[in-house]
Amino acid sequence: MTKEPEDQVTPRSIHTKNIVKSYDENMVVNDVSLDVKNGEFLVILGPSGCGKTTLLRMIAGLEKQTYGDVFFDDINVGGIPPQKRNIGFLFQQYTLFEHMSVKENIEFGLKLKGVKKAECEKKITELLDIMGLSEMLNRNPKNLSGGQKQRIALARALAMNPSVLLLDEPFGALDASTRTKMRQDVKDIQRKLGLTTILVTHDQEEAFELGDRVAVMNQGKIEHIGTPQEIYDNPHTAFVAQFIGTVNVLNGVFEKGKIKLGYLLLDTPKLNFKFKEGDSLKLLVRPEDVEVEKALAKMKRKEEITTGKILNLLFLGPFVKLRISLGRGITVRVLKPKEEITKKKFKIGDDVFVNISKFKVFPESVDASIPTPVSNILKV
Amino acid sequence: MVTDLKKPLVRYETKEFLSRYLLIGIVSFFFLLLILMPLGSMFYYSTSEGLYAFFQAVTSPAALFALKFSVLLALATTVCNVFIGTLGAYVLVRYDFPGKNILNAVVDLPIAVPTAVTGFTLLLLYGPIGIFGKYLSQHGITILNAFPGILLAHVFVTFPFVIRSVSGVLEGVERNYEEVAKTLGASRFQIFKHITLPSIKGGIISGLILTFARSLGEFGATMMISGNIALKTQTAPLFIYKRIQELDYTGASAMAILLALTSFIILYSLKVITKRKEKSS
Repeated sequence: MTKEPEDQVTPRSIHTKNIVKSYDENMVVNDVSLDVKNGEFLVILGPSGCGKTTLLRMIAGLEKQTYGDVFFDDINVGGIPPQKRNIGFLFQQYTLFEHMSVKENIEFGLKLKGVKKAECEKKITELLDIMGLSEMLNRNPKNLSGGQKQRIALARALAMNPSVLLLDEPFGALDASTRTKMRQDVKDIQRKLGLTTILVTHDQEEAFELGDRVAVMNQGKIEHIGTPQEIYDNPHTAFVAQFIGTVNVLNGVFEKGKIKLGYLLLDTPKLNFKFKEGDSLKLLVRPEDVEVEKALAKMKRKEEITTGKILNLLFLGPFVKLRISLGRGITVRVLKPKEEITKKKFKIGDDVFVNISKFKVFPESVDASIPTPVSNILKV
Repeated sequence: MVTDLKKPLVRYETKEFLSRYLLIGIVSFFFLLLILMPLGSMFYYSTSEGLYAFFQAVTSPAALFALKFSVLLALATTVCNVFIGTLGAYVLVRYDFPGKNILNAVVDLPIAVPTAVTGFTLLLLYGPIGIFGKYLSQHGITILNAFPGILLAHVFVTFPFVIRSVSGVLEGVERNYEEVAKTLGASRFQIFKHITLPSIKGGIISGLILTFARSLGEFGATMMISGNIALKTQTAPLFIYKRIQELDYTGASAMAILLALTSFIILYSLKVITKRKEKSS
């Protein structure tokens, strides 16, 4: 790699090409090709054991891939050890050296690099200032809180002027309020420095908050990569649809070019899969995409509208969660703004008209038993 | 239950009190029987002929040599095993390789093998008929009945101490620390020096103390390989044995007292130093 001028961050783009990691027969990362643009913040999101951390470790050079290549810009970093990749890496467990003070931790890499003392001091003061921890200079990391520890670890990584920042669930061990604050700070710092950053997480809220783009990973493969909105609105796979936010998984049948769901007959949207007459399929419906109206005699009943009964009604602050039975054993979860519910005066036991305005269709064979990720506002 | 609560709690407290002091009593009894009484009798015998006899016994050239030789030997053994043991522990914990389990089992062998057997095997290997012994004597190097042979025996006997205590600590040291140092540009050696070594320091020190103490008291293997030559290869324990054989109980117990005192002072000061260092860090 070319030598960087001191004290200047030169972000690099990251590319992985058909990268594979297997242990014996077990494919942990399966043929992943990824392009992270210069200065972009990419979040790799997936359940535990999906291979996301292994992928990040291969990019860092902490793990050797079984097959494939990693490029920083157009340089293949395959033969370059992590020491020389010019990366900043953050672990979940803070990993501050406890036999050193905060100052010694930050200057660790700088000293090894042979940076002059005055320059070291300047850099440390500057970084601690950014982190808002100037008074912690001579403290032992043992006496710091989790959030403070992770800030120091970040300062230590940034002190080296890395070209890329790799974060392995860095907020996982923090309490909720610290996590929120720290996320915002990381995003601000990343923007300010224009650092190419990859963050690995299982927390969807975190992914959406931080990522310019999000890559959803499952069983060693990236199933969908795109902006948070693209992923939410137009998931490529059933897994992505279910892993992001909450979704109703309903069983339907393909009939005369339409989808039959209980008493409902739905027009097919643009289908990603081909179905034959009578094929069973899975309908994935977001709770907010279900329209609910009070069942009034004067309302004309159409085929796309079915009747249902409100089984449950739960206030969640700005939103209300409803559980509605559509008959034939089908129940859907619905999420509506509080105002709409108040206006329409819904009660438990009310008969309602239900219309499913937006949905995704996947073949029956797609596994729906996916562990639900950690709860957040989008979940009901 | 309500009536139970109304009962005075004296009986329960008395029981608690009695069982506590019973246990303390049992432990004190064994401590007295197993450690204090032998030490006391040693002290009694060493001074039974007066302090002058005691002083003479411990300042005789043979006694002074034996003590010096023992301490020097224990120090050399400790240095060897701290180096080999730390390296061994690092390799056994950090790397996977074929035959690792066998090697792991072999490490503990010196604890199970009688020290006399250890001495005997070294005798066979480095003696006049042994493979190494033959070759080395041709080049004018003597192992048997000399410092190198005794050192070999001591290194063998005390081998598991450092390697085991360091392995235990090293297993608890997360690799993330070493990895993060890597991403900060540290070479393998720098990582070991700045990150790994400070984390396993406690393990090294406790292994070192055990090694030193065990080496200072080593008898069986030393007996087999040293030839027990006064003023040449006689260690303090061998000196004691020789004095007993010659029915010189005062001399034997005087040296025993001195040996016990020396090891106590060294071990105690090591503990104080490490505690001070820990506090300051």
